[in-house]
Amino acid sequence: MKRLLLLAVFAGFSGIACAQDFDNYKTILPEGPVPKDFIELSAAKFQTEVTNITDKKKRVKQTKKKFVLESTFSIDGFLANGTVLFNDAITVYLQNVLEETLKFDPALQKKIKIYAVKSANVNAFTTNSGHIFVNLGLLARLENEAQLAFVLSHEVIHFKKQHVMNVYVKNIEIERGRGDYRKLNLNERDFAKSSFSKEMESEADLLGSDLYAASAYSKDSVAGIFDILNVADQPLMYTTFNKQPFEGGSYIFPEALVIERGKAVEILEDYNDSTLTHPNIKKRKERVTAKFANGRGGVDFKISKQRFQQIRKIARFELCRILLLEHRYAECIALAQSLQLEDPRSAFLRESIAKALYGLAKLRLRDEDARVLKESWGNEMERVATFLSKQSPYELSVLALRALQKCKEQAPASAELGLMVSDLMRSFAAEYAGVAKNFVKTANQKPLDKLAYPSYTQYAFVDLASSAEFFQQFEKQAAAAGKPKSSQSSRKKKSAKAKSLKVDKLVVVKPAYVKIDTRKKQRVRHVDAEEVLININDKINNAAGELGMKTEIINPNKLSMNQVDVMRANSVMNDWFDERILTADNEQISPVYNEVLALATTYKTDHFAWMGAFALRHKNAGKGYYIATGLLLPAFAPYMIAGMVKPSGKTLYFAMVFNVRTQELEMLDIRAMAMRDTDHLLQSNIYYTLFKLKK
Amino acid sequence: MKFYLILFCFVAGSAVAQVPGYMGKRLSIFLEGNPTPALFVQNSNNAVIADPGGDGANAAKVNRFAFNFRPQASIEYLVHRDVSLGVSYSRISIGTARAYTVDPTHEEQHVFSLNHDVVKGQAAGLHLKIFQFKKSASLAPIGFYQGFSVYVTQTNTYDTKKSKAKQFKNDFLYPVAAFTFGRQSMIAKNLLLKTGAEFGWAFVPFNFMTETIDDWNVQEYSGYNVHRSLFGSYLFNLNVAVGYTF
Repeated sequence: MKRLLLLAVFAGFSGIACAQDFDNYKTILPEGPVPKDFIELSAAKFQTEVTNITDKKKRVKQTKKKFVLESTFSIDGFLANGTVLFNDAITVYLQNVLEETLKFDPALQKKIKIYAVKSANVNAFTTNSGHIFVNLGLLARLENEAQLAFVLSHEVIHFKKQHVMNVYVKNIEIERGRGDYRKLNLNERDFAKSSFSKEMESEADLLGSDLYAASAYSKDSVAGIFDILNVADQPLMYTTFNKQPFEGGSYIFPEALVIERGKAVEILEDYNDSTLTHPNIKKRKERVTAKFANGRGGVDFKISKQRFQQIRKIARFELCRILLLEHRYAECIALAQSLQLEDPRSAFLRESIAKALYGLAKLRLRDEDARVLKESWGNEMERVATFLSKQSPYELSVLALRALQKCKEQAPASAELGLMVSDLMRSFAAEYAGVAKNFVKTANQKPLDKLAYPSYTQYAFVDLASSAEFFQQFEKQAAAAGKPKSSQSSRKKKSAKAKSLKVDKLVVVKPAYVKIDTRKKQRVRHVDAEEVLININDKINNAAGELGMKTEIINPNKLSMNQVDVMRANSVMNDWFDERILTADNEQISPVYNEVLALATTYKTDHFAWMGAFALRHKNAGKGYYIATGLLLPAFAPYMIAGMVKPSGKTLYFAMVFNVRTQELEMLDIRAMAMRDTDHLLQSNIYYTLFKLKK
Repeated sequence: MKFYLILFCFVAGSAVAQVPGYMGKRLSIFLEGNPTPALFVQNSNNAVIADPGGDGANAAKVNRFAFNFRPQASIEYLVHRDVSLGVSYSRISIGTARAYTVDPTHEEQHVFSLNHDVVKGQAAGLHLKIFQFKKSASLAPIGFYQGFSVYVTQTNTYDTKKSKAKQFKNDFLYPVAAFTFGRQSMIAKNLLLKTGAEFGWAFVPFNFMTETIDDWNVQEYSGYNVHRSLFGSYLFNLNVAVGYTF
């Protein structure tokens, strides 16, 4: 009954997810009941998987066991990082295409679990335990459902033939120089590894083609997938670059900023693949297309063309957000401009461009020579990147401020846009003294002579609907930027503030724990670490309880089926955190600031913490010293024996507490301890962190 | 006394906001065994790790694993994140030697012989313990510490460990200063294990070190041996204790 209810709720969620409003696009997040893959403990999964290893050779069995251990925990780590989607519109669609492709093999169908991944990489990959992960970066580039079906067929073969494990076992054999690989030098070993991996890829291509051939999908579409792979390193852009959307009134860019055409992208299909894991594209394409030489027909869309296009559109929109988070600003602008062809009024796209310009301006203000254009980029992408890189930090800041202010006019309640405008105004004014006076403020005002900067920039804000308000704010922020930042009084205030945070509620996000024991053959102690992570909620709650503090824990290692909200929060918070780590400037406003602010409202606190520990155990050094002392002074022997057998350890505990509203890192608690980690030591450290927050 | 009590209350009270302790628990009680190999103080009535005279007279009692114990109970209170103040009470029982004249009528000729006795008594101590928060990020009461202690010792000599008759009319009353270092770990919830070492200096009269045996009379000889035993007893100790945090 409970399951039926959850399914009903899930069906409702899916419906909502499909109805994405692209004008106000919201990031795609997991939906419905949390799948078993995310809930079941890794240790339990490992125990189940390991029983399936039936090799007679002890050495191979041991290698496979090690592989299963490493891969199980590594996959679960990946599932917990917040980028893997489930029960959302894209994953449901992927599942439908997989079912269609494997229509004639329902048993195999049941063994495979498919997930969409919020990653810009043009890739899909498979695990030995039957997970297929498809990146949004790949989905965003596919032309039809048939191409997706071919990718899935290829991945299904990897699982069916256990390629991942076979490659691992073979690589170990080669590295250790066993059997035929005994007399190989280092280069020959790399070559042998590459050959075996390519063999597996070719097998996946050929057997995948057979599998695909049995489906109803078009055989003519397959070649296209290799064309996509050929240009996978080129940013996704499918429109002609136009500087006009950035202009307005007399704010017209000099033609010198725009190149007429970008260089043609050289497609190198027949590259040297002797040390690569995959055969080169030419070989793959030829082998696969030869399979379908007779052209056995089929359709490009079996599930639904409309759904495919919808799904691809979501992937592309999401890609804009991912590119912003990864600070790939020029690529974000190029993709958003392409998407504007279909959705010119989309606030999300408009804001994505503005945020990308903001990020670029901040980057160039910090480092004038920061590279925007990559050498390998060509065609329209080169034109976009050239347009951006030819502008000075001054010009870029003007452009970004204009774009942000225009967005702010459309969405005055947006906290992140307001903060970005203020922050850029301050950074701009800090770099160029008196900058606020360099602009024409009203339509009647005379143009400014003797401007030390490109003349066209003076008109950037005159046509803004909120021009007066904008200049008022600019003057204010410029004045604030002029004040010395670290006067003694402000330092005193800051220090007093640091001493009394008075946090009443804390949200702990994705606690981390790694344990390494160099005395053991399996040095990374995954199972022990998982146990700590399962119990860490109790430790945090115990400490908080003692202090009368409220806590909530976003712990993907301890989930139940109905905790999809935890995974949704985990996804957003980790996106925010990863971007913060990437950002060199603490003042820079996160592109997902509004999303995090919404979570702060939901959790009723601005304080979010990332905490965990690295524990290391190793053998005691100086055994000879202990033995000698024990022999010379027998009375000391008990102490020497104790000293000799006692494992030495080191522990690094860390906690980072952010105020997500101010984006400040309010506490960085790092303690390196010359002792092995125990439950009580971890408990004590957690208590101390919360204690400092509370007081 | 009143002043010190007020001062202690002030220090303890003002420290509340800064002292995490273990889950807010700042008070620890320790029972210490202090098992130390009988290297410096040993005799046939106490612990013998090596034959003191070297003449084989005590060979039957030699035990290479002979220990002296100084049972001690202490209470510590964290007054700062990494500083604790404590008091202790301990019992002392160590070997010593007493002189007696071979011919009591000719004591001035200084012909006397030895008898093995036991120094017994008690000590009260004050302790200041500093946890190495910065060096090893110890989080009191867990972690590495260095401590400074002062004791007041009150001892007398007895014929054997069990005898109750004091051999000197007045007790020996000496101060001791000690430096300790070691580590406290939590072996179960709130249960602490302390291991470490102590180096102490008993402030006994120095002349027993400078004067030769020929200058001593029987009374002085016995007194100096008590000094020497006490000095040796505090010079080096191993600390092993179990504690509980409240």
